[in-house]
Amino acid sequence: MIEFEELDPLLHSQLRLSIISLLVSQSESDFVFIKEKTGSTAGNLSVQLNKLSDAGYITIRKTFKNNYPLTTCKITQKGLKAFEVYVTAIKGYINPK
Amino acid sequence: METKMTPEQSLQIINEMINSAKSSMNKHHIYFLIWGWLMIASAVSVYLIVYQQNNPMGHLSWMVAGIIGGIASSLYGKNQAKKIKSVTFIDKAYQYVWLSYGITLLCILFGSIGFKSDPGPYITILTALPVLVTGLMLQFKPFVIGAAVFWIMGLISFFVDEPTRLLFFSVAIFFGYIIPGYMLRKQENND
Repeated sequence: MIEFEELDPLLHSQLRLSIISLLVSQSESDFVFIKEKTGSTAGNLSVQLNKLSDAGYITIRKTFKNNYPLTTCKITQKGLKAFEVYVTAIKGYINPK
Repeated sequence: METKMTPEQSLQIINEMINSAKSSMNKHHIYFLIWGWLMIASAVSVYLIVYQQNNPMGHLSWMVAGIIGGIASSLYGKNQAKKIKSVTFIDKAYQYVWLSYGITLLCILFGSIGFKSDPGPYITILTALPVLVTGLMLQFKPFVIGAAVFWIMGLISFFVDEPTRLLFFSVAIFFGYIIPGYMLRKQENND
């Protein structure tokens, strides 16, 4: 019988997985960029970013740019590791040994 | 409410997001064109003023070009920074490589002034390094070819006189900055 690794529930969600996948290749991204790329609403994105931040997968920094509030997100080492584990698990589902 | 995903859908999301966030380094073609044309203009000026008219003041062309290039680059950079919404790891690596190059270049220039020696061949060889790294990071072959031209021209420059070095330097800049810069601009317009 094939045993499947359990998928990280935090990453096994469409929007949160999109966010993490986006941040994997970025040094840092601002809120508007993530919103544009994921096609999510500001409210939903904000909620999901906070969930990822609470889990320690990303860091959120709030600053100002040209007198406007700027929210910048960055993936952490923990988030990167979780992403790697998730991708390995997904591959296991697609190509079971 | 969260949608249930199949493993295939998960992989598709990962691929789409990573592809959509690919580095947009081609916006930096302008730096190659600014510095490329300035360096060629300086090399030609030095050749004409210093070696044809025997006026050593012609060497100031390098300084004038450096000031113009520095101001133009920083103004453009500041303008770009206002528009940029994300910074990729490639963007960061690119900045660090060129920053290291700039510092090393200044050290060589000051050292050469102190020893009253011509830094030309050293600078030409040194420039191959960031150009090659840029080419490899962007997977953009014209820069890789340009880097090879820098190395070849730099090496030959050790065995020729100073006016001829200027010619070799200009050739290297043309193949390493100007041609790849315009090709990068074309790619940017197509994207």
